[in-house]
Amino acid sequence: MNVKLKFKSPFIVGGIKRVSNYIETLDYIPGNVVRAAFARYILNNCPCFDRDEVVEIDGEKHRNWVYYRNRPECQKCRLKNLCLKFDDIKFSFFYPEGTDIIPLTTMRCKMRPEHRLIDLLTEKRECPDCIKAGNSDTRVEAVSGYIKDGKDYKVSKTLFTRTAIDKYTGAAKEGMLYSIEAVTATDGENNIVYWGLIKGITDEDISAIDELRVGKYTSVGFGRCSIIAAEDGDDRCAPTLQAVENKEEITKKMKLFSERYRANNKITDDYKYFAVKFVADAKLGFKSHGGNEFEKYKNNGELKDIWFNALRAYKTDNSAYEIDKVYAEVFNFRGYDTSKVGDIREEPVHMVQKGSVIVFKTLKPFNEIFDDFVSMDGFGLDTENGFGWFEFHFGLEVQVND
Amino acid sequence: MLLDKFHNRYIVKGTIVAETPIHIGAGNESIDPVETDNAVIKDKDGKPYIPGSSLKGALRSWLETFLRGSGSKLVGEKKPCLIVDKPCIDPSDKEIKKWLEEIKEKYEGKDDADRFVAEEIYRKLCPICRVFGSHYFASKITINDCRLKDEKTYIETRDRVAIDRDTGTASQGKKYDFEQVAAGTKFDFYMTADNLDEENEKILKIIIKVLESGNFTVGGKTSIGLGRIKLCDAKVYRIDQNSLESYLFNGLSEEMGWQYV
Repeated sequence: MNVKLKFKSPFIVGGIKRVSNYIETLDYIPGNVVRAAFARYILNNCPCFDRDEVVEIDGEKHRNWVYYRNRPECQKCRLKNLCLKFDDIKFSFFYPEGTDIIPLTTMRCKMRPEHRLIDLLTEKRECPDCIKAGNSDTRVEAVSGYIKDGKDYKVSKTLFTRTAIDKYTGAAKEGMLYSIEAVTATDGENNIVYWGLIKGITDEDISAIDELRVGKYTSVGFGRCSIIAAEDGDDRCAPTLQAVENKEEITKKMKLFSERYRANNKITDDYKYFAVKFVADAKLGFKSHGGNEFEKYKNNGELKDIWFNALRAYKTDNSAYEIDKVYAEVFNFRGYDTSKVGDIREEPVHMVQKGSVIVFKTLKPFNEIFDDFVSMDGFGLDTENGFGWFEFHFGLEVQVND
Repeated sequence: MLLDKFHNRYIVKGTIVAETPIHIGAGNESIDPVETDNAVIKDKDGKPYIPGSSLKGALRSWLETFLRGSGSKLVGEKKPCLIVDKPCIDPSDKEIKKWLEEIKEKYEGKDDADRFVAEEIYRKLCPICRVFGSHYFASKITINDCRLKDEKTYIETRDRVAIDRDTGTASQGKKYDFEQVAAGTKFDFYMTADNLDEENEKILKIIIKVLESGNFTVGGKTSIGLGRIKLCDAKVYRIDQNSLESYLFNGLSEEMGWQYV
């Protein structure tokens, strides 16, 4: 179900410490952070919870673990249902209300930013408005971030500077000054609302939660939010995962996209082309097979193979699909699992940035493509926390009745 | 005495009475032509007050001057520094920086290294910096903003003019005015001091006595008679480890009274 997080205080999520002790928040909320907020709420309200209890899960020891303890107190617990099915609940990434992620195939006029955006997949790499106006400079440049009601959208952030105090002198401790940049505009009329999708949860489960604490520094008041179910009219929710009931409309759009893509790239083969856009970061397994894959030069075909292997986690007939193009940003990420006992660092992974677009080609009909891909949770690892979730991409402003 | 654990707390309460009018400037100039050139500082309700920082700064400055002169024997051998001119631990002094690095290196890796470093710093501080704080040590005393005791007060506007030295008449374009809080105005006074040792205690006594003397000035235009204040009805309490629990649960009581005379 679609849910909203209505923030009452600034929040900091997944802050990476950069140079000069500067911690910057993400402007979106990964699913694992929302899951952690749920877990914290359940455990804080759990009469059986023991902070020192260590639970072994898949050979790893964890503390603060949510599981149904099946004690007499559990029978009357208002969070019983949530606790029972916690492992089966899936969380999407959460984004500011009403925004869309700009795909990495999008470009904007270099000279006049007010001109309409173009999509490289279905349009030429030049500004159509400038061509129409007869301008000599028709160059375009890459654009990223969010778009809301046709305009760029930037999340409002504020910088807080803090220091640690030396307990003996009462003065600022040397080298302990740090700054944190948090998402603000979280008070009064300007309450910032984040949207997302939680699978396997009901209205009753949501109404049992009065307040969540999302992200870091929650003990000093950051990240306070209420969670509410989106109303019936609120069907536009980022990430908008295409529902199975929209199959007919989506396959029409896919067909139209394929025609436009083929025309734009002067393709004459019999393949059908379709694109997927990541609506969340994806943890892909770019693993080396006997030696460093990237030590020597790779041609396009080899690079496509590497991408294909990395995407192989999806449960479909791999052989029927090929990668045609990849528009992606990849960064290295090493997070922490604070529930772990001992070394809390996680394995480093290659993370594909949200907004990345992959164009596939196949000989399969569009309705089968739809069935194959809609049945998937997402690409790569940690899909139960929203990583690797995607939607079909049709270029910009593609209407079925065009 | 460092600040990592509670040893004692002194609380001074009383009333500050303006013996002469006070002018503590608001620090901003209005663009409104009918407003005063130099207004006094006021709170959100438009009531004048004496900022704690003004009072603390004036007291520190006076103590530095007094204890560097004949009063130095009251607080031991160490001569007080002038904090704005040449602090006893000056962060811009190369030798001081080197000394700080050396003491940090000396205790690096030891248990409670921060405490040893803090002790070295405290030993090097002058008696005033130990009480009023410095770059490297927090202040042991706090002075609240002195809020107006009564519901209302008078704020007077005084016109002034500069005199041309040659003609002995008013200088062209040099007329100005300023606000002053009327004499007799009463303000609340609340000061605390934490973890004072014997030497620090003497400084606290001097502070109270000078405020009670009525010869202490605060704010601007003191050379033309403004800003003289007097501490009246002063009550001083001392809370130590024995009375801490009673203070936390029941507040101040007469048994905690401290004889500072």
